[in-house]
Formats: sequence, C-alpha cells, structure tokens
Amino acid sequence: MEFEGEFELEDVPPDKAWVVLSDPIAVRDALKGCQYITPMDDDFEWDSYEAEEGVETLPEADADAVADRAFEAGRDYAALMQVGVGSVKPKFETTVTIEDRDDETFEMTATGSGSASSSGFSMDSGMRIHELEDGDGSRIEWWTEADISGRIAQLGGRVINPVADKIVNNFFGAIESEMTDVEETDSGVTDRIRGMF
Amino acid sequence: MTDETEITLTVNGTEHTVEVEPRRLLVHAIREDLDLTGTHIGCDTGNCGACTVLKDGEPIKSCLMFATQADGAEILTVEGMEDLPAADDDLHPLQEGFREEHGLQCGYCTPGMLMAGKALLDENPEPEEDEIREAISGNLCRCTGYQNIVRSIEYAADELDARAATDGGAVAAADGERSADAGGEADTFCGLEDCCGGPDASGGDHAGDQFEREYLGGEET
Amino acid sequence: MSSDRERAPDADTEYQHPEDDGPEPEKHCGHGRGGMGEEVNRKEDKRFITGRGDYVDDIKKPGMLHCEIVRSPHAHARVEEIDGSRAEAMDEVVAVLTAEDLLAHDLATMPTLMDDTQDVLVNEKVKFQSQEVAAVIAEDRYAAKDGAQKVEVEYDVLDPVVDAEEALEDDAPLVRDELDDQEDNHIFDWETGDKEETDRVFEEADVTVEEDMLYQRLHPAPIETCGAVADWDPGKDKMTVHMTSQAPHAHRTLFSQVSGIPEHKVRIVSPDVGGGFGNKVPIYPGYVVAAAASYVLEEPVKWVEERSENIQTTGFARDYDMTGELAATEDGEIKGVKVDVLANHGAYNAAAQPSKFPAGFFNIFTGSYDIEAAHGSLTAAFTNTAPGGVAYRCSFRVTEAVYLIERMVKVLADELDVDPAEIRRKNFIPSEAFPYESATGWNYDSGDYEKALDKALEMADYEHYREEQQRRLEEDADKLIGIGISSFTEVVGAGPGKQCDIAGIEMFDSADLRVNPTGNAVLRVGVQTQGQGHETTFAQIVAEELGMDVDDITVEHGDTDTEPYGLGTYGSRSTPVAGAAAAVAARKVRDKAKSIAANELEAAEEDIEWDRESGEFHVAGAPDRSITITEIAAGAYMNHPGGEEPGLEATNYYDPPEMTYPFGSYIVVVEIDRETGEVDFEKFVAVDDCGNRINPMIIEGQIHGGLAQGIGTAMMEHVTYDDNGNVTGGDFMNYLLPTANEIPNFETGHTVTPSPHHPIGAKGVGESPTVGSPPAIVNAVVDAMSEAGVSHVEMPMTPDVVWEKLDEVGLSHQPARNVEFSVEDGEHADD
Repeated sequence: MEFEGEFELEDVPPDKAWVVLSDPIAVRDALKGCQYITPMDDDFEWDSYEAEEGVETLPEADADAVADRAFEAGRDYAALMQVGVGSVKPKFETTVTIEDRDDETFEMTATGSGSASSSGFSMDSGMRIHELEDGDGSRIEWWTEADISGRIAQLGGRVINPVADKIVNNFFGAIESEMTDVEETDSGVTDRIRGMF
Repeated sequence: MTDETEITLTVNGTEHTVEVEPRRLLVHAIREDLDLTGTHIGCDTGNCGACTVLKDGEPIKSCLMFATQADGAEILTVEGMEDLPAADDDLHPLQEGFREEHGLQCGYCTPGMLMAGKALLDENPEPEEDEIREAISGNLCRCTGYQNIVRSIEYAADELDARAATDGGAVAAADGERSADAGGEADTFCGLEDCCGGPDASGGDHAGDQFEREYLGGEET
Repeated sequence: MSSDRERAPDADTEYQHPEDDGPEPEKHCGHGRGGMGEEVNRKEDKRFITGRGDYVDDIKKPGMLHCEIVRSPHAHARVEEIDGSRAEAMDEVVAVLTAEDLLAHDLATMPTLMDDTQDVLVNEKVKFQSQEVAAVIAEDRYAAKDGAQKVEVEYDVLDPVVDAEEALEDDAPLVRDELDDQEDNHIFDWETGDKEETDRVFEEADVTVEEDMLYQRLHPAPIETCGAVADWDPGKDKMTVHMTSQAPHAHRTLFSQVSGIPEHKVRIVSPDVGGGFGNKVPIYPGYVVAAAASYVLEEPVKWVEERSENIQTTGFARDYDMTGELAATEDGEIKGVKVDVLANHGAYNAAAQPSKFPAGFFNIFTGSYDIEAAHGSLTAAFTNTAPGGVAYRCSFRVTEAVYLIERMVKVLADELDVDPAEIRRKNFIPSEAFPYESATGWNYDSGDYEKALDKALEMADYEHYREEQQRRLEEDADKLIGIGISSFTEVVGAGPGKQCDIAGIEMFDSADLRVNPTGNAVLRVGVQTQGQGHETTFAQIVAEELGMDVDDITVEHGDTDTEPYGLGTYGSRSTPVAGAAAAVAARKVRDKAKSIAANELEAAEEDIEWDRESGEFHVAGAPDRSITITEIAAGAYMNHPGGEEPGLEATNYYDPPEMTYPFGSYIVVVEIDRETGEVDFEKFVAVDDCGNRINPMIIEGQIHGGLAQGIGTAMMEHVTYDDNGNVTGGDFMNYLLPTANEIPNFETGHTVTPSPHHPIGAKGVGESPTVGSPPAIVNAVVDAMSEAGVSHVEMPMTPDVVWEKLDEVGLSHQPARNVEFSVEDGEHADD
C-alpha cells in the first residue's frame, strides 16, 4: 500500500518544524495510539520496558535535552503503536530505523516493521519540509510504502485508507498545535542538532 | 475468564437464570448454556442471519449481541414455535409452510428464516413477494435459491389469514400475531391498503398465482 | 401422513420404467405410495423445522474441550520460533500443540488426494495466509481464543506470489522449497485429445475464433462451516469422530492411514450436514489436530472453524485461466476446439478428484456438440494461497469445461452473425447418435438436446425478447436487453471402478436393505446427504421397487459403523451410483419375496408375478390370489420357505458400468442499466433432463439452489488476494453470497431421456444448475453489447465491470444529474 500527502503549517517555519518533528517525545505525543518511541538499546525488552510519562517538550523543555534526544540517522527506535481499524485493534511492536537525515533540505527517511498478534507490517517512509511560497510557513511532504499482512490487511484498502488518513491528519494537527506554542526557537537547539552530524 | 454476572432470559416462555461473562455472545448462551441448539452460527461478521431470534418481538442477530444485553428480555427461538397458539398438529403454519413448499434442503439457515418470517408476518400479515424477499435478505441460504422459502412464507401468510377469517382472529390475536380486526376483513380483502379486490385470501391465491409451477400446468403430458 | 396420497396427482407422469417391455413404455405416477415421480414431502424436514437438527457444533460431550487454531498472518514466512508459554499459563488452557508435538505421533503432515503432502501444523514455512501454525486446547471456546492470542510466533517474512502466471516466472519465490525435486512452482502438465489432428483442422478452417476467459477463484461456502468432535476412547482403543463429511467411509480409511489407528477401530459419523457442495470432501488440519489432541488428552475435543477460516483455508474452487479456440466452416459448423489452461492449485496439490484425473473431467469441453477434433492442455502451478481445486458443485471441473464451450459457441455465433440458438442446433449431437463417443473419449449415454432447447426457447419467449432487444437499441433506451443461452451436457455419477478411484478406492457405492417382520424397512446407504433429500428420494426408490409405502422405509446414512462402504456424495453421484444400488438391492429383495409369496400362496415360484402399479405379488392369471409385501415380510420371519434362509434382506455394491450425462438448456434474459451497469434478471428459464425423475419437487429445489449459486458465481463471488498475499475476499463482508434480493424467480421445465444403463434410468441432477448457468448469464450480458463489438465480460460481472464495458463501446449513459457530496456538513446538493 502506498500513502502520501502534504500538510501545511502556516506560521511555522521549516527549521522550527524540523526541530519538533525530530523530537521522539513530541512525535509520540502527537501520534494517537502511540505509547512510546524510545531508542532501542541492546538491552531493550518489549515486555519490561515502561514508557516515561510527563516528559516535557518545547517550549517548556530544556533545549539541550530536546537536542540530545533528537532522532539520529542509523539508530533503531522501538515504538509501541495501537491502531484501531474496524473491529481489529492490533498493538504493533514496531522497530524503526532512521535511515537518513539531512538538516539542510529538512529531509528524513526511515524504515520500520511492526508485529502484533494477528497482523504485521513493514514500511519505507519519509518526509521533507519545504518553505511555503507565501509567508513564514512550512509545507511538509510525507510518503510511505507499506506492506501489510494479517487480519488488518484483509479489511482492505477501503477500510485502511481512511484510517491512515485520519491518523496522519490528527498527527499533523497535533504537531501544529504543539509547534504554534513554540514562540521562538532557541536557535541554539537547531544549531546543536545540526552540529551533531 | 473475567467475572461472570447473572442474567435472566425468558426463552420460549420459560425463565432461565444463567451466569455469563460480559463478553459472552447471546447466541452462545442460547446454544450452550440453555442447550437450545436450533439457533445456528454461520459466519463471524454478522452477515448470514443463521443466528436470528426474536427478542421482545424484534428479529435480531444473536451473534451481534452480548447475553448481558438481553438481560430481562423475552426471546423466541425456533424451538418455541411449536408451542405457539397458532401451532396446530404440532407445527406452526410457518413450519408447515416450509415443509409443504420445500423451503429447506440442508436445514441450516432454516431456523433463522423461520424467525425472520415470523417477524415479518407479525408486522405485515399479507406481504408482497418483494417485501418477503426484503425481510429475509439478512438471511443467507446456499441451498434453495430462496424461491421456495418465499413460497413457504406465503403459505404461512395464507394459512394464518384463513384461520383468522374462520375464527374471527381469536387464535391469531392470542398469538400476538395480528390484531383481531384483521379477521373480519379477511373475507373480502387481503388487508392491503391498495387491495385490487381480486381473489381473496381465504379461498384464492392472491399472492400465490405469481408462481406458476411448471410441472403442474406447463409441462408436457 | 395423508399428504403423500394427496401428492399423487402431481406426480411426474413421464416416468418410463426401464424394466418395461414393449413398444410403449408404461407411464407410472408413483402409484400413490410415494414411488418414482411423486412429489413426496421430505421425511427429514421435521427435525430441521423444529430446531432439532443434529449438526456437529450441536454436539456436547462430558469433558469436551475446545480447539482453536493459531494462524499465520503472513502468506509466506519461515517460522523461527513458537512460544506457547503465555497461553499454557492460563488456567483453562489444557495444551498448546505445535508441529513438534505432532511429529512425535507421525501426524505433522498428511497426504492429499493428489499424492502431495500437506502440513497439518506448519513445520518450517508458512505457505499461505491463515495457514495452521499451532493449536490451543482449552476448557471453553472463549478461553481457547484467548489462549490463541497469547501464542507468540516469530516469523521471518518472505515475498509471496499469489498469481499463477507470476508464479511460473523465473524470479518467482519458491513456494515448495521443502520438496526435493521442486525447483520452481510448476506442478504438472496435462494434455487431452489429438493435437496434430486439431491443428490441421484449425489450419484448414474457414473461420477461427479465440477468447481468453478466467473462471475466477470461488468458495463453496455452505452456511455451516467445517468442524469435528474427536473422541478417543482409551477403554476400547477406539476413535470416534463426528465430522462434517461428505464421504464418511473414505474419510475413515484415510484417517486410519494418517493416524495409524486400524480402520476397524475408527468410527466416522457424519451427523446432519449444513451444506457441502464439495467443501466437506477434503480432510482439513483441524480434524487431525482435534483427533490428535483427543488421543493425547483422552477427552473429546471439538474443533469448529469460523467463516473467515473456512473461506481462507478450506478447499477453494475453480481458478482456471483459460484460452479457448473454435474452428468452424463459414456457415457455423464447428470442426475443432482447442483450450489452454493455467490452473492455480494453491500451496499444495490437494484437488479433490478421482486419482487418475488431475484435471478432473475437464475434457468434456466438447460439450453438447458433435466436434471431431479437440485438444486441451493445462499447466498447474503452486502459489502462496490456500490449497484446493475441489469440485464445488461442478462434478470435477465440468463447470470449467461447460463455461469454456458455451462461451466459445457464443463468441463464434457473434463472429458469424448467426443466432446463438441456431448455431447450437446446427452442431448438437443428434439424438440418434447416442451412445456417442466424444473426441476426448467420453461415452455419452443418451441425450435429446434439441428437445430441451426448443422447450427452453418457448418458455423464454425468445422471439419476443429478440424483438424487444432490437427495439431498445434503436430507441437508445435506458436499459438494454441481453439474451444468453447455455446448452450444456455434464458427465456425472463417478464412476466405473476401472476409471474412477479416490486414493485408490474404486468409486462404487452401496445399499443395504433390511425388511422387518412388521413389513417396514431400513435402507442403509454409503452416500451422505447434505441437503439433497436422500431420506426421501432413496425411500421412494424402494417404495417403487418393492410395493412398500414410502413412509414405511427409513433411510440411514453417515455412520461408518453401520452403513455399507460407500464413496460419499459429491459430483452428483448419489442417484447414479447409490440410487442404482438401492434399486438393485430392492430387486434382490423382491426376488426373494417372490419365493416367499410362492410359499404363502402355495404356487410355483415361476408363476408369481409382481404388479408395479398395485405393488402386490400374485399368481399369474389369478390376480385375486395376491399377497402384499407386508404379509411377505411376516412370512419371511414366521414361515420361511424351506431350503432358504429366514429373513428378508439384501445388499448391493454397485459398480456403475458408465458415467451418466444429464443435460439441459438454460436461457437467461437480462436487463442492463446503462447508467449504473446493474444487471437485472428479466427471465430465467431452466430446462433440465436428468433422465427419470425420483421427486420433481426435490429436483426443482436443487435447480433453484444451483441457479442461485450460478448467479453468485457470475455476478459477485470472488476470493481475491492482494500483492502481499492477504486474502481480501475472505469473509462474508467481502465474499458476497447472493441474498433473496439478488435472486429472481426461476422458471423450470424438464424433458426425460432416461439413461439406458441405469437400473431406474436416472442420471443425477444436483450440479446441472451450477454447471449450466454461469455461461448463460455471461452470454446474456455479452449479448446486450455484442452488436457494439463486445465479445467477453469477465466474472464476477459487478456493476462497475459491466459499466466499464458499456463505456468502452460507447453504450454507457452518464447519470442524468450531477450530485455533489459534502462530507463535512453531511449535505448534498444536486443540480
């Protein structure tokens, strides 16, 4: 299955959007059904890991802390994601690998695969943030190619597509509210993130 | 197993108390807790209608309801049909109709069809063919092609109507199947709003003549 | 029951008894005792209409456990690890079984009817979505499902291939890598007919036509799914399995071979079966797992599948991608037929066919026509889909064969601009030519094809609809008329032992008739009804042949402990084979009855005659010196003739000398909406000839049911897959069975051309309607557009498919209004 789309954030410039979208905690918060996104170290275990609650994001959070935990290319992240499609509500234990990050073009790609008891998927995703032609905003281009198998896939595209659309729209909507709270980016955060590569 | 609760189901006139998990389906409670296996299961998406029962007079798919949701309700299953007042000679006219008109082959969808038919006739004693087909469109049959099922229900409608005509609706009214008024009218009109005044229900074949049975009339001798 | 007597006037007056001598066969009308040709109300109905049917899921045994199968979400994947510990930790879970556990009992795999080996539980690699990976046995069905969710399986997902053509390409994933000699997904090639001769005919022909057509993947989907209750008795070392089986004895033999339990210690009982249609012929992993669990746990174990499991994993039907060709003279005489097929067999070759027929009886594709040259070739492929290729009410691929030839005849008719009824008439095997040997080696027993076609044309008001069709085209009407014909011949009644066997067992069948001292009887048969009405029709055969009343005969079936060995019910074989056995057994009893009659009437046996009409035995020339079968029965036990055995009983194992060939003509008139592509049935006429008819009412019911299945096939049913091997047509939300709203009223008629070799002249009829109707329906839809150049529409002909075709040839209409929808405010505006 292929999904793609665009989302416009009117008052959020690309570099701000980039910072927030690079924050696993902010992404987790905005993604309904996602319990956590956390770096997958060698000793990570699905059964025993407990998500940290109440972690702050921008603008409240410490800029350095946010920069520290930003997505890194080549790193694996574990995510627990529950999706509801019709009567099927699988909880996917998902491993995401950030493939590429380019903080000049604001492009990030990732691959991932998730399994739940009766469904599974693997995906190839990406996003790129562009400047809006008029004003200060951003246009976020996103795409994903997913192979889905199991119960959830049997429902077919006509059920999955609206759900996928809804998840994405909700996500960007939540990100937008998140970001418009971020009055001023401490440019130091952006630079620090840049400087990590 | 999660906590069970006690519920009361009045099935075919008898009150039963059963303990069920909150998620136990009504169809399983009927089939396994009450040992009434006439109601069947044919699918897992609520499409086939084999599990149809009447709940407080309305046809429902018992696989789409939790037993706890039916707490306190009156349920009619196929096993209860032969005890209804309209059942003469052990069989309800609907059951008789299915046998006379060959409305079943493997029998698996039949209880659901009988329930759907009963619900229809309770509400609409003189249904047209398309109304019958609509009423049973939630019940899948793989064997009969539906034609004889339609005839079976028409047979029952005619039979119930004839009895209502002769006894002034007493039996039918006791059955709760139709109002006593219908009895008086049945002699000349079929009860339909736009009745054309054609052959009447008590003697003729108002709805039946649509079905020319080839081997009666049309075949070579 | 007085209704039987009341039925007598409706009885079929055309029954011509094969035993009659003389130029004019006598006409019999059931004689009022429920014999041949009478519309006896079904004896089995009472339990079904009162909710007392006895289906597998109704069975409850003390200590009974429930089995839930853990299934693979992936179509193609290696199983790395199975961890059932979380399930086993549950209180109500008794056991979790995997292939490893079954290996200990040599039960991890089982043979298929086509000599392949199928996993019972996946050993190393999953080969189709929802394949059985593990099983959870628990105290109740809810706990079993909970347990199944807790079984953790680690999969290494592989790329699947679901399309047969793709499967045969060089870079396709290998489905059966565990087979030593298997380097690709090719299973076998099959050929029939004379290639050289056929090629020559094609070269010399005035006209040739060619068409591609797909007979799409279907599923029988009886309303009752498959299931079993297995019960191992350690006290008697006996395994009893109540299961949804169309062939209890064959299953017993196979079960014994697979499990190692000796056959005389295995009892298979088929209780009431809620529809079969071929779905309940194979042995499925669920049955084996339930039996293994019962054996190990020493408790009864019930396995009943859900509908989605049924559609996704039990035997599918069809999936034949065909290319047909006809060669003809310019005035429409068909000289040759060619067909090439790509057959998708799924992940295992588990087609349920007689063993010598890997493509079933597909080579009957010369149909009802006298065609000299024929050639067929077929390639079968493995794919990552469920195994199957069962005979879904098709008598072993006769549906595919008839679809091919009846569609091609229409293609040819359109090419030559000849009326499709006339081109058939021109090419029919003439009635004088029977018995007829076809170009592919079938011996058709009898037929009168023109008579059936004429009758159908008359019933369908053919001329009127042709005129109406023309008028609507000229007036550019909103709805088009299309008329489709199918004049089919099937081959059923498998079959003669030398040709037909199931896993080596010859396909005879049996009947055991025992008459009691009080003059009533029990008939036990080796076939297994799933709705065909055997408890009535077989009793009618005995009533006819013995002069008994049909109510005095009980028919029993389904228990391998008591019934004589038979091969079961499918392929329309019950009447041709077991029906014959019942008639022969009854006649054996009648012979013995004569000697008893002689004894009672104090006459010589040669002087005793039996009168079919009255059912009585009397002394020749002295009709008042007579005796009834009831009195004879008493005599058999209370005054048996010296030199003979007491009692009155006979058994017959019938090896049919030939197959039988029912036929018919169906005419379908459709009305197509040019705006929506919706197809309505304006008229649906079916004229069938199944030889002598036992119970016209039951035959008519069978016809209705099969025609409805034909509509499902042609209009809406399809088991579909996506590129990841997910079954997207795998439950009743997506695999659409027709409801009462989609099925029209049918008009049925019949002709009677008895089978010359059958004891009661009957041929069998169960599958004629599913065989004959799909091509009639497709022909009708094509016919509505053929003047505009359409030669084919693929099944299922959903409205979008039909509309696209209309649009392609400029026949579509646009909606009259533009309708705008606004989802946000829930309103719509139209101009």
